[in-house]
Amino acid sequence: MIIKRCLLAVVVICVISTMAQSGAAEINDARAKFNYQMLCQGCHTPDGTGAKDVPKIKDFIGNFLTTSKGRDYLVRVPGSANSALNDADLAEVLNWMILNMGGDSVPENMQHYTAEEVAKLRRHALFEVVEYRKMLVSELALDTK
Amino acid sequence: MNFIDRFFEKKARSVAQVSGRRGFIKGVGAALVGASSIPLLPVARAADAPVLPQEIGDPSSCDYWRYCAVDGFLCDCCGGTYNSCPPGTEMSPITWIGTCRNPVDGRNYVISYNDCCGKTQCGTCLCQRDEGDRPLYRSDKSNDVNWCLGATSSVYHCSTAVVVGMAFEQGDKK
Repeated sequence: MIIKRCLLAVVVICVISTMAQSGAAEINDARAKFNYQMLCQGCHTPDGTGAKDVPKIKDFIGNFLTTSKGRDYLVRVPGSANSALNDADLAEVLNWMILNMGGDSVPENMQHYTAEEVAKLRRHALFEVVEYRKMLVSELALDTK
Repeated sequence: MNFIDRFFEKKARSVAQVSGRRGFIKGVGAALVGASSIPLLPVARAADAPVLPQEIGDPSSCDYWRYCAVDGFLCDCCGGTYNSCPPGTEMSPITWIGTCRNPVDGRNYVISYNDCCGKTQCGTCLCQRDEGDRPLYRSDKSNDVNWCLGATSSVYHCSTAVVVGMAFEQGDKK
């Protein structure tokens, strides 16, 4: 009985510490998916593959989390920064997209976006987003070499 | 070789002493019944199940419930259906998305108005209901955009109305 209780306590502590480390607010899947569908999917397509000039999210988005500029970019990109979502919902949909579409590109120690972080970053929305992304991606490629 | 024969004979005999053929059949039967009941167990299978709303109305009429935000020619009148393109056209992968209320179950569904592209305008069943349509400066929410710009050919032919999910209602759980 005592061993059982100890094991349970260890499991609870592990779960709590993992959540604290990642700063994870709980993701409501239905809400995040709906917000993605209504505000992102039209261009980024249902699975994030993209099309023509629409950049690919699928199996790639997680690469941006490997540098602080890249991490900021995902919030500063106009579709995020200027969206009709509030800060908490924007953080949620970004985390949902990364976890559901990022595949192997997502770093193991992924830090979830928080509403506070998103609020700060979205004030600095990007204008020349195409050039900026190109520059970022070339920097990421250098980083991974 | 004799050693292997003796080994298996011994094992077979010892199994036969402690279990009957009926016991074996009973075991297999239980396993089959058990396996068949697994798909009935309540798991979160609904999460990824395709959304199939109950249908009512005429898909070649502008009043059809899925067309609440449509602006264009209905593919259903042009050789396609409400969720497929006519032969010889290509569905644009980028699209405008809105929600419509299904009159049968009273729930709101997410509708993707994918345009079919590659042929000149269909010219029949022009509908313009525009619910939820926003001005062009909200291009992602404007149905005046030519969404065929995402297809190989940017020539617009007609519009579909594909149900892609359920709308999230405040108070919905995960």
